[in-house]
Amino acid sequence: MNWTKSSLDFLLELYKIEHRKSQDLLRTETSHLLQKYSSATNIALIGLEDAITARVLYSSPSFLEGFLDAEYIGSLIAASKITPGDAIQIGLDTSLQVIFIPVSTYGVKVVYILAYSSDFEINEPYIEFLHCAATGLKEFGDRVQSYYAIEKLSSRFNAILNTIPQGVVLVDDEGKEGWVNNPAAKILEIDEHKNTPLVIAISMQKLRTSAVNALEISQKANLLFSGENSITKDWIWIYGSPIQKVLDVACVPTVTTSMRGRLWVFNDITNEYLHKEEMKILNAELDEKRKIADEKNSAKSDFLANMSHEIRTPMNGVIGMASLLINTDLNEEQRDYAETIRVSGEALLGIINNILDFSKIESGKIELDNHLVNIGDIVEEAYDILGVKANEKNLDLLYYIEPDVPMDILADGTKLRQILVNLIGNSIKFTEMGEVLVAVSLLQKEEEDYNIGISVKDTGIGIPADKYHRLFESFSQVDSSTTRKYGGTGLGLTISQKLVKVMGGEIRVESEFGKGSNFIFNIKVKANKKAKLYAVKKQHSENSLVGKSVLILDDNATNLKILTLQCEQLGMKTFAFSHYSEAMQFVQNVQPDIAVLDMLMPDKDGIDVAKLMKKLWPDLPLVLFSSAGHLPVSRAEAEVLFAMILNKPLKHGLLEKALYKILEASKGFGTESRIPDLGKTNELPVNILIADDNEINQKLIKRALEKLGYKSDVVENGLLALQALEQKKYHLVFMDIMMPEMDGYEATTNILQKFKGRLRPLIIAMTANALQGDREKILSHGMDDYIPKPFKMQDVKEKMDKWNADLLILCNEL
Amino acid sequence: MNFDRYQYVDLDAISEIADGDAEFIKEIIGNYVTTVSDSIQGLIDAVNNTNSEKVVFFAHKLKGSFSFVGASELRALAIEIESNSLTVMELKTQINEMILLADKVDVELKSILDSL
Repeated sequence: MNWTKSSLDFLLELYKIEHRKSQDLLRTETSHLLQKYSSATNIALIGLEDAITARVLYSSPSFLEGFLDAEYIGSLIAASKITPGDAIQIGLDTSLQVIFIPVSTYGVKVVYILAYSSDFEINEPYIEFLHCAATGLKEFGDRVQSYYAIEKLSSRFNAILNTIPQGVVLVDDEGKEGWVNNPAAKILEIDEHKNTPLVIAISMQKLRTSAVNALEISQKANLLFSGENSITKDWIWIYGSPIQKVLDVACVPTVTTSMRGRLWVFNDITNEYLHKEEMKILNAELDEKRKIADEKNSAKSDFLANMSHEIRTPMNGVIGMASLLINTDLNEEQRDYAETIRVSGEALLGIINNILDFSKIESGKIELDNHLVNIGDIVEEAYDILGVKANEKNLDLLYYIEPDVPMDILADGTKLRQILVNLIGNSIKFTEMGEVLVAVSLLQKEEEDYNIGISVKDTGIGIPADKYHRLFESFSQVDSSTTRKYGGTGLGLTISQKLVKVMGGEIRVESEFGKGSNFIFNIKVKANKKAKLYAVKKQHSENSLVGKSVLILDDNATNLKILTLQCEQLGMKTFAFSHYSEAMQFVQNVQPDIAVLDMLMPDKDGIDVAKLMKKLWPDLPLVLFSSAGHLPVSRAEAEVLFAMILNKPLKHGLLEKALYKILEASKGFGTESRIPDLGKTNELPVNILIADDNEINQKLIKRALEKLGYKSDVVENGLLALQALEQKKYHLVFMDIMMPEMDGYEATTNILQKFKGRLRPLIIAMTANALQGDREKILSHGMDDYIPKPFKMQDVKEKMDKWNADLLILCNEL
Repeated sequence: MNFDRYQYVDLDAISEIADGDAEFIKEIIGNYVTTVSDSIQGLIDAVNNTNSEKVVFFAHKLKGSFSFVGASELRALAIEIESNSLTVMELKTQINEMILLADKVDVELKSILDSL
């Protein structure tokens, strides 16, 4: 037997059946061929499906069937070599010779089992044949699996490409092959699937040139085709006028080992494109309409803002005339009518002011007018405005400023007061009994930037939580019954909110329905980083009130707390009581240095308590807090009992001054100067000139300088100042700004000119305007410093100390 | 000297500078009364003559005087008039209010003078 020839014939036959589509047919045919060419008596093909399953895939008749030992079959495959074996291992007659040929390829693991009769000679050439067959079967298996894989990929590829809506075209650069899917064929109007590259190229060119934007497409095409590997995406091809079709085209090169070409993808984006164009038009229209609406709104707001005077004027006229009328000789009835006109006019003016303020804010006409203000003064001014209303309802107006808050800040005092008046006004409006408390605290400080927190808390009707969101809406009140009962435009809080925002802050509310509300806001302001704090303003007390005892009696817990804190900050020992009986029990055995009594209290008022205390301690100095107008006895009578009567709301610093003065007077502090020892600073023969047309100012600044040991001369205007400088060597000029004949600016300019290139007198402006712009104007005119009016003794001393060194030089040189 | 029971004036700044000198305070109050009276008249004339420069001038002068006696409400009125943004009718209304308030200040200052 020529086994070599058998090997070649076997391989040739294998090649012939390579393209069989069916796996089963291939198994059968390969088995037949192997049996034929190997002269085996029987053959079986075992497939190892998994670790426990080895199944007979094919067998010659009555040879093997079913399942074999998977572990054994697995070991044969793992050994990967032709193996003679015992027939018994596979359950066969032991007289048979058996050879196992394992073949493993692309996940397919099989074993061919050849069985021979016992007399068959298995010699060397035969073994060679078997090796050749095994190799051939393996390669055959690899090729077949590749065909199947390609077949599978091809099916998937075709399924995907014929399902997606995008058109896909593939052309090779050599011009041999081209392929289009169904959607691409429709777009290009050619047959789908295989097409020659020429046909595809012609149809694509036709598609490009028929586009509305053909020129633009062509320019991009040139770029694309000029570079071998150019990729292009988002290439828009537009058709029809009006637009009927829009394609988004992408082109990428494809390079494989066997082909070099281009892949085109055509995406029909007609709907999306038309929608976008429509949106563009709509947006443009919307912008135009918005612009018109804004202009109209702005015009309306501008009109309202500019009409501010025109609208207020007649109202002021009505109110003014009513006021004048009231001051004339009227009978009771006429006076009543005139009063009604005035009150109604004021109410209407308040509403008009609110509306006009609101419109100003809406039209963006709000600007901050920052200047140095004292927060305590602002609160007091707000209380001054609203004090009458609060007194009518017997409400306590209280305020407390934390010790670390700067005294003077750079802020728009008018707007801050407006916010407070609005919030406090609301509190008074919605509170029937109790108090309104304004608390000021320092939230944050960084260099000269201060974040000040302010709250306005009342014991009023409160706000339901579900109505919070309406509070700051324009023209909205908590509910309509509120409007009926309490009135108002619903603009106040909106205006306050906007003003707070302009001042760099936010506003919010905390409230409990039936218990009260707390409006909390903050403002961001500047102050000197070494600004005097409220805590520091205790200079009077350093040697005087410290250690003194004070009894405080007030039924209002908040006021009692504030007074106690203030006295403790002064270094005093405090004894605080909320009911007269407790206070009286205390004073039975102890006489405090001073007692502070509230006027309106339950059971016994301040007058009664004072009388009781005076019986025990006739020399005990008493201070009475009284709401303006609430004095049940005559003032003269009251002044017999009390060393001092202070009106509510208690002004900042007033308590301290009152306590100091009373204790000074009563405890024999002596008649030495009320002014803390400033220390006379003047050792220099400084010539000072005061230029001011106001006699009071002249006298006050002159006096202040005298207290500090300085002499000065006075003139009434800038012109006289220049003349005085001609006649005497002055080292320092305190220059008022607004004067007749020649103002301070012009006078300064002349002085600078006169002394050009030489040492000249220092010039300190005296100004009532401490606006940001005014300060800069003063310094830009060449003045050296400024002192605000009204000035305090300490202000004058500070300036003299500050310029002492320069004055020394001037005294020596001038 | 106890000036703290007064509602419309605050003489702390002056008192501090006066340093217990009652005569000085009397002098200042005297100056104030004269100056303010003349300035208010000047203001009224300026309004009647629609001389806005003079209106501002007298308002400024009054502002200073009111400041030193601590008449904060009057000072606020003077500031508003000085701003030169009011109509004639508004000016007249403000001046009227100023006169009423100034009268109250005068009453308190007189009381202070009597106590000195």
